[in-house]
Amino acid sequence: MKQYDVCIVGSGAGAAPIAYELSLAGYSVVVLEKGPYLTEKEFTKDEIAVSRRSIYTPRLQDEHHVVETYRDDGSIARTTAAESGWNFWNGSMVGGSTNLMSGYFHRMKPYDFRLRSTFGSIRGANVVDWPITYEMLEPYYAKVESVVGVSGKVVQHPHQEPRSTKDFPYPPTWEQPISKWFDDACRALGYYSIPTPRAVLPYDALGRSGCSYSNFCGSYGCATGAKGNARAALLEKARATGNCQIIPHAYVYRIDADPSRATAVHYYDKRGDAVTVKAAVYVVSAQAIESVRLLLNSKNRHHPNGIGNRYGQLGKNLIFSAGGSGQGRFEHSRLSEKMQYELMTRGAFVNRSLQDWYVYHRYGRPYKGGTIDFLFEHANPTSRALRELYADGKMLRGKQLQARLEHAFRHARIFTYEVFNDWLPTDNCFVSVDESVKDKWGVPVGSIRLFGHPHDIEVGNFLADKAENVLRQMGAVEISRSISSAPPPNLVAGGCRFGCDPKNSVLDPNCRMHGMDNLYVSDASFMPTGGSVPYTWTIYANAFRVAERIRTKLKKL
Amino acid sequence: MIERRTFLLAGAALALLPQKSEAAYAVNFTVLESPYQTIGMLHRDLFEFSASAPSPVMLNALGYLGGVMNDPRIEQSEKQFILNGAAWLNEQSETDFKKAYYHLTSAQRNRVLETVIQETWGDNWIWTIYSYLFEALLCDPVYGANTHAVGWYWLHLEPGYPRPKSPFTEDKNEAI
Repeated sequence: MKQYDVCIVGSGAGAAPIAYELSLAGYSVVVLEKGPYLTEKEFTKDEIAVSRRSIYTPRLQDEHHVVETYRDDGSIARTTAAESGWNFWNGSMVGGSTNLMSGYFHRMKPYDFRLRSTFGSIRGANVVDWPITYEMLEPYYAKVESVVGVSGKVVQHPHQEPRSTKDFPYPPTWEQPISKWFDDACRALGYYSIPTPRAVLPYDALGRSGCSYSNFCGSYGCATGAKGNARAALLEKARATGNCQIIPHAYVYRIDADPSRATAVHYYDKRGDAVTVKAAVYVVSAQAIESVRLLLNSKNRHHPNGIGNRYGQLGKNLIFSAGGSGQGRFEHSRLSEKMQYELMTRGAFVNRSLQDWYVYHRYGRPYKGGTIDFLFEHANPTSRALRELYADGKMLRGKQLQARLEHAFRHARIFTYEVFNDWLPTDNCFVSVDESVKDKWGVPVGSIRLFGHPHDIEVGNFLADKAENVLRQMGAVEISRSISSAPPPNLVAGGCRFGCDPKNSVLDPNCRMHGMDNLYVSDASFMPTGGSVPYTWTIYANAFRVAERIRTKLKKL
Repeated sequence: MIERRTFLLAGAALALLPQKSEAAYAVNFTVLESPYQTIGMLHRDLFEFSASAPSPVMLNALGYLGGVMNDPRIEQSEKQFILNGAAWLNEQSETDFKKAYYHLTSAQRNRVLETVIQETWGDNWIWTIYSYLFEALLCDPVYGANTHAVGWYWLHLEPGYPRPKSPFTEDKNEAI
């Protein structure tokens, strides 16, 4: 059996920087990925396959989760995802869900790292400060900009975080003309319009092709390599060293461990045969929910409650991105001919955000707010058509429906926004394992208990009010919102919180498991709080930081 | 009939459409088979023939639905619901007019629809039928529906590129 220096479970944003850095440094690395090895040539803009049939995630009858929610009376409603349709899978392929991201890349801000000491406690929430500071992570944010490739333009605004470089290494992608309307509206309102940084290359660079502006970006694999997904940006380069082996269709079901060291990883290969891998260092990067599930399912006589669960912290403090979305419609009948043409320009990115209220004051005290990203309604035509099916609560039919579809697609366009604010960690939101429900391999599935703190919705609505001010100023009509505690499955974190005290955290500040010499966790699960931005940039940056720690450790072996 | 002007708006990209679709997803069958005679009639009632919009027959919406019924990515419970709904629609028709839905007059069918749409199952079922009808209207023609991209022409849609060369199959990714 080949002995590797590093074995990584998973291949997404938490895994790829480690594979990249260590294979470039000459260490032997194996990456075990449950999904297939898809590359640019396999990615098409096929709505049926990608969005209607979800071919990049497992079939729910094969693999799913148990989902528990709170009823109004406080009792728990339990259902399997196969029964309810709850789908918590993201991208199951080499590179993970980074293949399908929209690539909104915002850094967390210095106060995100000290939420507890800046804003105080909130009743019912387990808010803590991070064990590292923004300043410690900043060089790695900068590294992601240059290695993965982030395009954008730095503008000064009240919540601009400190940077070690003056600007982004790549200019913004081609911008939709509506961005100018947005800028004008913000100027009139006294808001700071921010060009949204994106992990999308505007032109050929880093050995990858630039964006083709296909109009189908988020939810779709990138057919040019412009999107900074973990495979295109990092894993292909790791593999090119000859030191990194990527094994697709490798379903890891158990980690062996003695009292202080992981000793082996077991997976089922494509044929269903059990295979064992040994390495000096093991890294779990299977996404927040699945990493916890694997560690819980790996219980043995030394770790009777799961590896890393000595103090019952494993799986606790699961978080999502709170907030929601909203929209307004621009009607041709209210626009000049030039503006109609501008509105319908397809393919280009809106690339605009607001962070004026990342921190705001209300009732005489500071509140942690968040980020608002603006974009057009997703281009998927079937989903767009279905949203036009009802008018005033009544299902349309025949000519009425056809007229509405014609209008919606040809004479109007929906402009949307997404609110990102903190999902407060609580005792009521966590991951465990349900021994009574098994996946197609016969392995107990993860059980997700969901709870959104009421404070999250209050902040989300505050931010939605501001977003709607902009939509109104721009001239949108039919403005509506959906702010709730519904969890976005693609924005999940926590469960393996890092910290200094093993009694209330799973990982140490370097993301090594407390009490384990050679086991690291690197995905979004380390995050005690999520900041008010999408997580991917932070996962990438932290993984580069963890890679450096592992490299230091390997040098000593 | 589709407006000629609509075709002219298509642009160069749509000229790249294949001359003939590879209809490996949609299936061919006789519309006399149950429940397709019922759903075929319902398609006409939901998305009736008009001067500009393509008809369900032109889209091959029924053949596409046949593909949905064979699709392993569609839950069995969803397929059963499609079958049950057609049966329940006919039950309502028999109750109201002593005939199956597809034997009713247009006015009678409209009354039956007005009744079932008030029911939770009816609203859900017709939404489901619409969801696959809209897929047939807007999918890539390689699926054997949206014939000659008439749905795209009608709504002035340009697809994303690259387009699929064939319909997805469950084992496609498994092979990679």
